[in-house]
Amino acid sequence: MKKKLLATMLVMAMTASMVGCGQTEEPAAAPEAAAPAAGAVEVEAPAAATDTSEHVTLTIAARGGSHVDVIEAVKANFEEKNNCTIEVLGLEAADLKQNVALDAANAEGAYDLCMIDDPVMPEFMEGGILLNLTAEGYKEDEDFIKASRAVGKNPYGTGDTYALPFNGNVQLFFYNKDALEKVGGTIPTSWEEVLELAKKGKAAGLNGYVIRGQQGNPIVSDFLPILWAYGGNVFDDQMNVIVDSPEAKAALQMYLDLLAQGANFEKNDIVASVADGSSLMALGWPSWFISGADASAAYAAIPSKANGQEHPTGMIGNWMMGVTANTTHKELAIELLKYLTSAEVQKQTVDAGCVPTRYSVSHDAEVTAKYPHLAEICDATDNSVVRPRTPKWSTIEEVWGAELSNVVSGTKTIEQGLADSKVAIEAEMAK
Amino acid sequence: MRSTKKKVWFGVKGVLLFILMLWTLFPVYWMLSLAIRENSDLKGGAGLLPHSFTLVHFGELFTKKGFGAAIQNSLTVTLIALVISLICAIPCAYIFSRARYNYMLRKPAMTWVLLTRVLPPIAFAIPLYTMMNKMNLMGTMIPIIASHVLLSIPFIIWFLISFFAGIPVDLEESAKVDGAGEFVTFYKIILPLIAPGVAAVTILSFMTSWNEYMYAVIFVQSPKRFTIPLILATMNSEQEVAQWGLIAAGGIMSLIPILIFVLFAQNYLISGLSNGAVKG
Repeated sequence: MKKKLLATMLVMAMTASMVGCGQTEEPAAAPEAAAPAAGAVEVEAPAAATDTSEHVTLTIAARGGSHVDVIEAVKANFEEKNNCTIEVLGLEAADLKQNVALDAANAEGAYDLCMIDDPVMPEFMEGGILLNLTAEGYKEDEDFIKASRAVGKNPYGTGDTYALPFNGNVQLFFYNKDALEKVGGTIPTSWEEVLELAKKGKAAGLNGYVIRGQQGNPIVSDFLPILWAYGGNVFDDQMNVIVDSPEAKAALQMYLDLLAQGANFEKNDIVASVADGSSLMALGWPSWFISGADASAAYAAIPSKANGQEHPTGMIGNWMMGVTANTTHKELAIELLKYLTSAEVQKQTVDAGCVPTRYSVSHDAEVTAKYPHLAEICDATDNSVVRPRTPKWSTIEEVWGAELSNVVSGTKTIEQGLADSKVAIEAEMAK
Repeated sequence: MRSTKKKVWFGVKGVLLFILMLWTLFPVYWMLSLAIRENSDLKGGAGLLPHSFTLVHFGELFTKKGFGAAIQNSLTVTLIALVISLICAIPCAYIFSRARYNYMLRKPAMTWVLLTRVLPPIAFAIPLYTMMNKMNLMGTMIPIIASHVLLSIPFIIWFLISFFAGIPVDLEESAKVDGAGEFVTFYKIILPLIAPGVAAVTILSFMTSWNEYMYAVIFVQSPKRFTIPLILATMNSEQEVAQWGLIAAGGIMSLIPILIFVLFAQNYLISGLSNGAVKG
């Protein structure tokens, strides 16, 4: 009897929650001109450049999280002006890539716009998944940060434009200010200084430095800046694999030395531990630590010196947005893309979590007064380094990440791990 | 001496059971504990016991994340797939279990069912996607329902074959002597006898369908059709710090339908699982 009573109560609770809070299907009719929904942002949408007599639905395959919030905040104006409905499908990065790639095989796509992580751009551009915007008459906008603009071009930096920078991102060096003062350190500019600081942190009972050593993208993204600082890279100018160079060995030794002074955490624990001061330093993406005007940790440019040399080290990680090649609403999709990446929208949506990709917005007095870090991210992006431009980067990250993880966990030596990395990457490139 | 041994062995069993209980129940406790903590209590070294209490995460699930719609979608997909699977698979299992139904494709059919059961679900993802695309069904709920039916039918057939095999053929012959046809014999005589088995596969298929993620992410192309696993996945974004409170609250909410099922059909589940293991 008690069990049945409990079950009945649970059923009633579920029914109440579904009836009270479930969404209903929106009618297909054109939206009435009305005040924007609460939280929406008023931005002037472009006047319709295409025939808008028929009500259409545009679908954006987007990266889940704040990107969806940004689009949702501004889409109402565009919908109203262009007699359309915009659906935003927010997915995890791997699922987003999979779904867009699957849909690309169809003559008529389910998605009109899609977001793309910058290292995946070569794969998408060369795979014919994205529409050539230059061929459609798009004129390059130099207000976009140059390094971000370059990512959307094929060939990189010089070719036609296939995607525009939607959300800015560049890796930074994060540290706990109080912990740094406690150990009597200053912001390091070389990796040797980072190691010395890490040792002091460990002596003070902290994790001196935390690495992100999980297989695949985490460890590769975490290690690459150090590799670059030592003058190493994955490929040389002729795309020969050089991950087993003396520079790479030195960089990986430094990585292991840093781990010895700290810990190996996943993203959420890195953020929590640096924020609460139990860890001193780590590399990370701004969106991890900075939310709105608040930052849970202090930040600086990634140290660019190692072994007496200096090389750029800030890894760019923009999220791009392009029009799918098989969209059924090409002109409207292009207009939506321009709208979502416009200076006006970027300026108005910084509150919703947008990291601008334009010089004018990043250095706007109003914006920087509230979010000073955006100007620093812009400058860091201008001096950033892009990950190797190859359509096989996703698989290279997997195989290389596996070997790096083997070295970090101690199952392989540095020499063996990097030698095996070279073999694995060359095998992927040969496919 | 014997009673001492008994006591020691009883103690050992008790400890092992305690560890097993902790292993299985602690994640549920931890999920509930995260769901009711304030955000400040969720950062870095969260203790075993919550230091705050809030229901704001549950509220945000429905007001900001569209969880209510996700529950509706999950229920729709799960219940429709379940009904179709049961209607198709139960008679199939009966036919496979009876030697008198000897037809040319019997063995290939059983092999096909077994193959579908043992192959990993990802093996069917691309073929299903291609099929659904060609039939212009991708904008509907049909692909995800069909994929769940594909997962459930082989399982139900193979689970119930042993139940049907355990029912004496004499029962059916007696029913025929009394004038019952094949369908009446099956529906009124045989089916009630395997009710525990049907209840067991119903619960297990419901759980499989309710928690299914891979096919959902491939076949759902509109945020309006997100199921619970999809919604929960979007809350653990690599872009920002994970929203543990929301994820935990979502996990607790998604447990409720399964809890309801189990509470109503607990006895059937236990007898169904054990009967199936003994017979056949």
